[in-house]
Order: sequence, then C-alpha cells, then structure tokens
Amino acid sequence: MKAKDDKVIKGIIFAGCSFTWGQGLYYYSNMKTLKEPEPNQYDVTLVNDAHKNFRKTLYYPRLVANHFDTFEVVKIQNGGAEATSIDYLKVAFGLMGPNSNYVLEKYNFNEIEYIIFQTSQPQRNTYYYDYVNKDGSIDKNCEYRLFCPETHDKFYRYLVKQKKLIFDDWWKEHCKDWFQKIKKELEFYESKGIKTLILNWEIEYLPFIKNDEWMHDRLITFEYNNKTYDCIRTMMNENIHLHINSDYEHFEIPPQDHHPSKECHRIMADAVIKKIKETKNKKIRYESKLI
Amino acid sequence: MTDRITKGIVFAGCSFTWGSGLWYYSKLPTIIEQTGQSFHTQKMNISHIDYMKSVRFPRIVANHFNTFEIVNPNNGGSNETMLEWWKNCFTNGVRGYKAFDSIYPHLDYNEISYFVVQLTHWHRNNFTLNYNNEEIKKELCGWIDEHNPINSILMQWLSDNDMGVEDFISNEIIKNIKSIKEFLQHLETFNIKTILFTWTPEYIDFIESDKWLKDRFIQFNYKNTNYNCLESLMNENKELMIKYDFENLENPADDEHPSIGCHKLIAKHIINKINIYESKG
Repeated sequence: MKAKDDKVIKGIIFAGCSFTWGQGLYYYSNMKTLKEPEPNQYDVTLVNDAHKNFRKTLYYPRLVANHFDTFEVVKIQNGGAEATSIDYLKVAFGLMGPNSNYVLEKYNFNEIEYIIFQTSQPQRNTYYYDYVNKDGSIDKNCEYRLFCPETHDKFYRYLVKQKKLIFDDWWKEHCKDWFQKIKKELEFYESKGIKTLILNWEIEYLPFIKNDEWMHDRLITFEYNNKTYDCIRTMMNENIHLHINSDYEHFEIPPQDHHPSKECHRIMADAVIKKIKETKNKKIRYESKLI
Repeated sequence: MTDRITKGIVFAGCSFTWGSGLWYYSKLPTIIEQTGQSFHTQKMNISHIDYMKSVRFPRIVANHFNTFEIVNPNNGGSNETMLEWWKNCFTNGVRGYKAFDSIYPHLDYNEISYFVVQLTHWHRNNFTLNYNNEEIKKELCGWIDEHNPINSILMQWLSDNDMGVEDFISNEIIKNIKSIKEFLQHLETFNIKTILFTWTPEYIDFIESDKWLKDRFIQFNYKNTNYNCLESLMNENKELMIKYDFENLENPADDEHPSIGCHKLIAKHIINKINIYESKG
C-alpha cells in the first residue's frame, strides 16, 4: 500500500487537569440521569458512560481534533496537575509502566503530531524534601501538600530552619522548578519530532514563560471580546459566564461547578487551532536543545 | 436550562460499522497492511484505532447532531452477537458503575435517542441441534459450508425433521431478522427511535414485506441509482471499497471494507433519515 499524497494524519495528545478533561460539560446534555454532587465537588460515581461520552463531544480536545480531521488522546481519569500530566505522557509513550488511570495503550512518537500541555495549579504538585531532625537523623522524602494540612507544620519548620526561606520565596522557587520541569519534558518530546504547545490556566507560570523565548513561542493565547488573554484564569475571571456555574445562557439554575463552560471550551479550541495553524505557517523554533 | 435533551446514538453492526480498514487513510508510518480480509490485532495499535474512530460513519453522524456515538469496541460479529452485546449494555444502572472508560458501556434507555443497526451475514449466527442426544452448536456457515454444501449431521437432522435445505436457510434468515425486529421494538417502547440498513441482501424481501421494518429501513442512492444493500452498492461502485479507492490511495490495501467515501455516504443517508424522523417530531 502506498499513500497517494504525503499528508500523514497524526494524533494530538492533550495533557492537563479537569479543564482539559471537560469536567461539568455533561450538564449541557440535560439527561435525566444527571446528578449533581456537593457544590464544586467531583463524584466519580455520579458520572456514567453516557455523561462521559457526551462530555467528549464538547471538550476542546475533540473540537480541535475534529477541525484537523484527526484523533485526540486525553487522560482517562479526571483531574491532575503538572506531575500527573508528565507521568501521563510517559505512560502514553511507553516510557513508564502502564497506568489504567491515564491511558490504556501506548502511542508511538511518530504517530503524534502535537502535545498540548495545559498547565494546572503549581500548588497541586507535591513538594519533596529531606528533613533533618534535632538529633541529626534525616527523614527522607518528606512531602508538603497544600491540600493536606497534616503535612504543613513540618514543612514550615523545614523552611525556616533548613531552607531559611520565607514561604513566598519558596513558592517562587517551586513554580520555577515546575516550569523548568515542564520545559524539559516538552523539549524531550520535541526531540522525538512532536510539536508542543502550552495552554496556561493560572498566572503563576506566566512570568517564567514570558522570560523564556522557547516557551513563549509555544504559548497559546485566547481572543475573547476584542481582548487577548495569556491565561485561562484571567479570561474566566473577567468573563464570569465562562464558568459553568455562571452560564445563565444555557442554565436557568446553573450547576455549582466552576469549570470552563461550553463556550469557554470553544474559545480554548479556537485558540489551539489558531496556534497550530500559525506554527505551520510561521517559523517556530522546533529544533530541540537536547542531544 | 432549555428543555432540549442531547442523547447519544448507538451504532450496532459488524466490521462495516466498526470501521475496519479506515486506518489506511491515516498514512501513519506504523500502518502494517493486513493480508486480504484477515484482521490481526497484533498488526494494529491504538493510534490506528483512534484515527479510525474519528472518520467512521458513526462519528460523522454524531458530530452532525452535536452528540455522541456509541459503538461496540470489538471488530466484527454476527447479528446474534450484536444483539447479545447491546442487550447487556442497557443496564439502567443495575450493575453499578465502573470507574474508568470501559469497553462495555452501561447505558440507560433515556440516554439514547437513536439505535442504528447494520445487518450482517445471516450465516454468522449460531445454530444448535440435538444429534444422538448431544447438543451441537456451530455457526451456520459451519453447518452449511460453501465447499461442502451441507454437513452430514445437519443433513440427518433435516431429514429427521422433514425439512429441506432451502426451507432451513429461509427459516434461519427469518428468525435472524425477526430477532432484530423484536429488539428494535423493545427499544422503541423506551422512546429510542430505530433505523436499520443491511450489508447483505438476504433480508430485503422480508423487510420489504414488513411495513414496520420498511419504515425504518435505509436505501442508498449513489450516482442517481438506488441500492437496498451495501453489497450491491459496493459491487457496482468499486471505489466504495478500500481496495479500489484509487482516488485516495495509490496502492490500496487488499481490503474490501467500505472506503472513507463509503462511510461518508452511509453517514449522509443516516443523517437524512434522522432528519426525517425529527421533522415529524
């Protein structure tokens, strides 16, 4: 078999958290089987197969894939952070052992055209440190997790006594560290011939992205109401109806879910599509710095 | 919220509905040509499957109506296995919930708006007979082989039951289509609208004589000619088979499944049929 034209239709992998997964989009189906969890919670047992299938028809990955007549790959499990997105990509390409929460099968590098990496909240990424006790013994790999209060006291002691940093300085360091980890991962995939783009949710990574030409070249911006946004957070804050819980155009009483609305997913999809087209026409530096 | 409920569309059938061979259009560097009509999963990978799903007629129809499609993830099958599989999917939550996207969807009747069934070869169904106090179960194509017209055990059974081969075949075809009709009628009691079309021609006489089925039956129009089954459509228009799709493939794979153009044509006819249903309210 020989192809008639040279056009190879490869897939697009989307890595991200609940924003990429499309949490809450099932509410637009109006199905009788929909059940709301506690406000702003996600209850996996309430989201059935039909809800998940409907959700996929509206989430931005499918809208992008449909535009380019190709397929999208998205993590099976809802939620996540940079750490889980990085692991998910590794599992997807067979660089890490199987994880049925992420993806069921492996993809080849030469079957994927783009990775769209949606950044999440840096605070979701666990911070690991070695804690030196008073007696000199060391507790290896202690964890600091913002959403886990029992990990806080020890971490604060570590910051003051060992790290000798105030929390704000540590926070900047943490964000920078994860920014660098993301960049390293993206560079690795580009060395395998996959183009990468960044869809940024929160503002924390923006200063680093703006100061890094390579990353900035890959940043996706959003056009909405004659304004350009470089993170989803700002766009949604300034346009509150882009949250499901404020989408009065579609809901009389909106579900109590703060995730991106149907329209917001359309905006994100259009932004990704535009960026992909730009990268095809413009000379974006896709050479890898890795050897 | 508006009153509009966006329900899904189920597509039931064999390899034609599954989208066998469509991966050749991706031109992915990892494609390995299958030999003839054989299908070896070890030659396939997830990218091929994902691409195929994105271009097969169920996705085209679902995208047109801004909804989702549900297709059996397994390739191939008979009318019998198709019915069995889909009957098990409509669980209405009885079996509880599986945490992740499973290959076996759990559906509630009121989550589905249409059930589109593509009929396949009648002789893929099983037939069980009792011979010397032993129950023997085989696919009908195993009982009635092309090269050995009739199995000696079946011959004996037919003789014992005072039945001719032609009558036996005719009965099996009617049993086949009746079991489909029964399931479709069951679905309609749950407000799921049903549509059917056929790959092979053997059911057509029965469908034509049955108003209920005929009303739900899709014929295909291509180049100003009407076809009542995919087999005649594709035999008379070879470009609708992958192996003869020289417009899109330079050296097409030896695969007689519907081409990408054929999938678009099937989608167009299903969309038209659904539009007729919707216009009637």
